[in-house]
Amino acid sequence: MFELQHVTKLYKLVIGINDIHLSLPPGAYGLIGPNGSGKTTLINLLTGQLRPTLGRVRVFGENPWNHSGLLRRLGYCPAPDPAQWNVSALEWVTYLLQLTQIPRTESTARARQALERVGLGSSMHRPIQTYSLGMRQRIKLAQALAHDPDWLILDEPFNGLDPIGRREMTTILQEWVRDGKSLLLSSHVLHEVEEITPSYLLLCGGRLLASGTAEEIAADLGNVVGEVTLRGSGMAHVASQMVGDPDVLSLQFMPHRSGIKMLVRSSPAFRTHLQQVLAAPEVVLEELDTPSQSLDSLFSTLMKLHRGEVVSQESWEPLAPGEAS
Amino acid sequence: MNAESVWAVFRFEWRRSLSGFRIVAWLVLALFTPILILLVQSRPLDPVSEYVMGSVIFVLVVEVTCLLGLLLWGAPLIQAELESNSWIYLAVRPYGRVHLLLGKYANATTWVFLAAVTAISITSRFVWMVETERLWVVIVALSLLSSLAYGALYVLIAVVFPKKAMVFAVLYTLIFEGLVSLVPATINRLTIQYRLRSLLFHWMDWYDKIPEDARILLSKAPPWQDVGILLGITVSLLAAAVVAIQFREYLTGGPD
Repeated sequence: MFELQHVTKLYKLVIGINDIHLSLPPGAYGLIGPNGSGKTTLINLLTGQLRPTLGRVRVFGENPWNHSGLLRRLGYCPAPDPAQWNVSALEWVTYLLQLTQIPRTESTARARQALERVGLGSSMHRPIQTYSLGMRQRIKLAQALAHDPDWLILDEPFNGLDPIGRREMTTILQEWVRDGKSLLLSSHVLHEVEEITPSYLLLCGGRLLASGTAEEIAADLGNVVGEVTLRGSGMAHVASQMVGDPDVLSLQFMPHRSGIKMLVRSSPAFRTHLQQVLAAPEVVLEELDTPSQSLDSLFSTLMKLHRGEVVSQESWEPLAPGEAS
Repeated sequence: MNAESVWAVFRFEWRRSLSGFRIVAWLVLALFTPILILLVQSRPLDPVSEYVMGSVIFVLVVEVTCLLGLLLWGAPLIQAELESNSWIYLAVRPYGRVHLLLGKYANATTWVFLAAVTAISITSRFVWMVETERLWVVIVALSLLSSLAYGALYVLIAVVFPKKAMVFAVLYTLIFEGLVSLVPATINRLTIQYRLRSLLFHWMDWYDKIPEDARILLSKAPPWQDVGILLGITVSLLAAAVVAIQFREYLTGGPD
């Protein structure tokens, strides 16, 4: 279990992460955010490589800083590739297992198993410098899971993988989660995270923007304004019906009344109402563009909100009927 | 901590460091002294005292060879791991930082000690001296003490100043081990060089042969005391490095 209590990490004047407060019970989580959002800082705090400037970090109920005992229970696959690769994959993974204080013969056996698990059984004796980028990613995964940790922490594991490699990596991680093991997966490839876990932590600018499943995040975003665009004929009818909806905050016709744009609070009631209006015989819809519930869209909305590009409902007053421009 | 893990680091580093560059650098270190002594002896020189020639060999093997080797392989201990991105893989293992430090320290001192032994072994084959075998034994012992003590010193510098370890190590060596060790005052007793030099003159029985005013640069204590102090310095510096590496944050990338 991971717990961060109002944790802030500063690198002199640069903010790594800012007042993050969260609790993660065992499970699988996607840690999502753009470059520089604080994902690696968060991971380094959890793995005891950094001390928080403010706040408290707890891993399995204990302070991870300088706590070697905890490290046996974590498997970490960092983002960067080690540059010196003049050893074989088997030697390298065995070496890292020995550093986890597993006896040499057992380390070799476990290293073989882990490398076979990630699909490198036939090439484990080759020098790593002869491997492709995708193969190196798999070795990094192998060293993280070889000692059978309780939690697997992966930092951008999909980097450099081709579509087949991505599929294979996804399958391995899906199996890991299915086996009841915990996972924290840092990535900016949203759809790949979606295939592995439905729970997310969305980070931006060092702040935790949201956490939970896509549905929970969407529910939290209920008061965020999104734009709905409609094109087709019968748009005057649609406008007249929708303008009184309390979730419609503004409505604007496009040139020649070829379509309308509405700023809306995307509630279930609004969506039902819109469906009913669009079902009218005089309406022929050619294009409909709505705020999506996908993780990509939610993250995009959160980012806009974070940057002040989208306003929340509190800033708007619903239009009175007949006020459509 | 676990001795098997330290041994694993030592073995892995040994295997990994068998590179062309490392072997060439090692050969240069090992052959530097014999070639220089050979060149000196091939020219007609005024006869020199045995202790002068012995001191030259001491400086070349115990100081130049050992210090250069340790500067190359001991001082960049942390920075090399950070630059090659391998640090984080080791640091997230139980006591990984400490095992890495001790294993790499043992690896660096072994490489350097072997270079020093090779250098004195070749040199002693042709150098003109009465007590060549005795000098070989003394220089080998001093090389071992030098490798251990300077290795521990550079490792501590590497841990505290990872990015500028080489610069700080060179500055420290020049200022303290070069200049301060030759200052005829109590402060020179704080240097490793002072102890090594004293041991050379005591073990070779040259103490009484040198001018009286030069004896101020040597310890009057019995050799076992100097050895004890050197081993004490080594253990203290290593212990300080072990503590420091546990409590220092090392950035392995930007603040992502």
